[in-house]
Formats: sequence, structure tokens, C-alpha cells
Amino acid sequence: MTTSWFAILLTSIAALALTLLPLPAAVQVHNPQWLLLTVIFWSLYRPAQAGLIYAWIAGLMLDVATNGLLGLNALLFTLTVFLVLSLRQRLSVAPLLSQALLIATFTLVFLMVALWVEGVANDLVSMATYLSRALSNLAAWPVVFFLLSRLARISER
Amino acid sequence: MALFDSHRPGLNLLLVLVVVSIALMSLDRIGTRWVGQLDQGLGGATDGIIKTIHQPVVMARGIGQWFVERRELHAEVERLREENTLLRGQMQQFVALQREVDELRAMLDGEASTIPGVLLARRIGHPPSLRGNLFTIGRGFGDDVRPGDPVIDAHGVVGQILRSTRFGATVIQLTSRDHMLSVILGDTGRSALLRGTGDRQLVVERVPERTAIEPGDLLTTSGIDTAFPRGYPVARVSTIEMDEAQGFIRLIAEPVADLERLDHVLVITEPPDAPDASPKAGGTPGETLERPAVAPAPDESATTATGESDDD
Repeated sequence: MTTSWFAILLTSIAALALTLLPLPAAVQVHNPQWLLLTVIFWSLYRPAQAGLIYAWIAGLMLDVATNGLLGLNALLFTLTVFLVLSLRQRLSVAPLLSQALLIATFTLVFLMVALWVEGVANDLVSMATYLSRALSNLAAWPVVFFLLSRLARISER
Repeated sequence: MALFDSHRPGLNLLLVLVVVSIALMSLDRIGTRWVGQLDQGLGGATDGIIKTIHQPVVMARGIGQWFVERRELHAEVERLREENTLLRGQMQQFVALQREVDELRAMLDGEASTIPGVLLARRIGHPPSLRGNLFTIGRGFGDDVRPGDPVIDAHGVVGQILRSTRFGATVIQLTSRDHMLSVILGDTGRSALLRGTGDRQLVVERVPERTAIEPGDLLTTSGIDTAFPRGYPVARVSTIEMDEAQGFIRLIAEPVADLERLDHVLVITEPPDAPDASPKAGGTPGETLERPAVAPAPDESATTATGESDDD
């Protein structure tokens, strides 16, 4: 079961267009997150084709389109799809109503995390310095592992 | 078959994507150049989508024009012709005034002011952001629209270009919480920072208590911030809040621009000190319309200029 890439791409663009449709502010608030729903659908039923990277790119496009913080929706889309993929075997055979309920719950969590990140966005500047530390940790770990495992083996004797 | 494959996602990939996202967020927050370029490049695609969505509206308008009565069209042409004559008449006066002001300034060893070039742009959509103070216009990089360019309408300042791509540009309104500009308070000559609050109100904080300002006074751009040319009407003071313990007052103002019903806006594309804009500029109607609001004279004449255009 493979769907053509063209279909996936086309539906994603259509969903993005639906999101960008200029609506009155009162209606805009209630507009569903079409792109997120589309991404969830493809990851649920065509997981071999539409996985985490697809979700990340879709989220990034949404960020660019809405002039938001670049990477925020990309992160949230990735996390949501990870959740969906982890629960996939249960979720894909569930009745439609419970699927909808579960997806509503996902989106609630999604929106709460989005609000939280918007709130701490000012601290993201200092986050950049922490990030470099995380990366240097990544580089340093093999060295530490090598040295300490060597030490552990020596001290066993 | 596919149902029983687990397709359990790889944890490594997730972690890499999470780290990349967080890095992107913090770099975007700092304002790194290549993140801006990425934003601009991908923004071309999304602005293209917005432009495509807007096409049906343009087509509907085009079809609607077929059914307009000939008589109505003639009436409309007549009205526009009258308005054009009126504006041209006013403009002659302003051109003369401007020359006079320039001569006076030259005598005082000041800089001569020139009327900047403007570009008429149509509003084609608004991105669904949380704060809702952005909108997209149909002119982009190709039309020389650059980030930071001022955007005005027939009445006053609307905002600034936030991002410009191949197919369009995003405008941040001056009512946004992320927007600030430098204004002159009425006739006092004192400059202050005008901040957006997210809704229709604008705030000027920390004005000395003795400043002679009243509700109804006009705030105009000061030109100090070098983003906006000097003398454009921005907002009208609605209330003054006393802060007696500190010796300062706070001004609440409302924008003069008609932000609720924006359809066409003008982008000021040339920097205010660009040479030889004025002699040629009289030809096209967009620039003629824009001129009365520009009036690079002192603040008083700028006030009267907008007063007149409000009456029309």
C-alpha cells in the first residue's frame, strides 16, 4: 500500500492553503488545524512514507507561513507525530469517534505546549548558549565513555 | 499487512529533529542572518499560496465589473476626475511650500527634504497568527519592497514591512505589541516612543508631566528612528493618564490609519533622503494621491493636510 508522493504533497499544500484562507478574526479562532490533521492522517495510514521528517517539514512551512517563531510548529508537529506513531496500532483500528477524541486530546496538549513556548520565547536567547553546551556534551560523551569504561575495567581487577 | 508492521519511529531521529527545532527557534529569536534567509526563501512559497488563494477574489471582482452600469462608471470616472483635480491643486501649493521650506532650510544649513517614492499595494490576506497584527500584501522583493520599509494608508502610518519575499510581503501593524516607533507629541516638539499594545490602543510611556498635550492632539513621526520619514500622522491622543507620584504622564492614543478596513496600502520604498524623487513623481496617480499626507513642512501644516484629506 503506497500512495503516490504527489498525493501526499498536494493534500499538504491544500491543507496549508485552507489554514491561510483569510477569514474574519472571530471565525479564524475556530478554524481547525487542517495541516496538523492531514499530517496525522498520513502518518497514521502511510507511516512508511510520511514519518517524522515529513511532519517536521510541514511544521516548518506552517511556521514560515504564519510568521511565527521558526521551528515551534516543526517541533510540535514532530512530537505529535511521534505520539501518533507510537500509538498507531491501537489508533488506526479504533472507531472514528474515539480517533477524533484522541486527536482532540493531542491537540489540546499541542496548544498548551505552544502557549508555554510562546511564553518562554524571550528566554530562548539564553537557550542558544545552553544549546552549544548540549552539543559539546554530545562531542565529549564518547571521550568520557571511553576513559571511564577503561577505568572501570582496570579497577575491576 | 501494513497494519501489523510496527513502524515504531526511531528515537534517534526524534531527538535530532527536536534539537534542530530548538536550535532553529533560538537562532530565529536571536535573528541570525541565514535563518532569515531560510525564512525568506520558504516564505516565497507560502506567499505564493496566499496569492493563489486570493486569485478567486480578484476574478470575482473582475466578473463583477462586467455588470456595472455604464452610467455608474461614468459617474465614478467623473468623481475621480474631480478628486484628482482637487488633489493636484492642493499639491501645487505643497510643492511650492516644500520648495520654500527647502530654501529656508538650506539657508539654515539644514538638509533639504524630498518626498519619497511610494508603491501602491493590495492587501491579499492575513496569516493566522496568535496576535493577529500581521497582514500580507501582493508586492514583494521584485518591487523593491525591503524589510523595514514604512507602510501608510490615505490617513496615516499603518506599520512596517516585516518580511519580504518573491511573491509578497508581510506587514506588521503599528498596533502590534512588537512594534515601536518614534513620534513627536503634537506641537510640543518633544519626541517619545509610541508602543503598540496588541489591540487598537497605542501607548506613550514616561512623558514629563509638564508637556502641554491634550486629548485630540496628533502624534506625527519624528524621523529620529530613520525608519519612518518625518512628519507622517500616526495617532491621535485619546486619554491622558496621570502618574503623579512619578511626575510623568502616560498617553493613550488611537491610530489615524483605518486599520479595520485596509484594502490598499502604500509602501514607502525609497529612503527619505533619496535624490530627485519629486520632479518626476507627479506623473503617476498613486504618488499624487499620497502627496498631501507627506507635506514635509513643520508639524502644523502636516496636521492641516491630514485634516483636509479626512474631510474629503
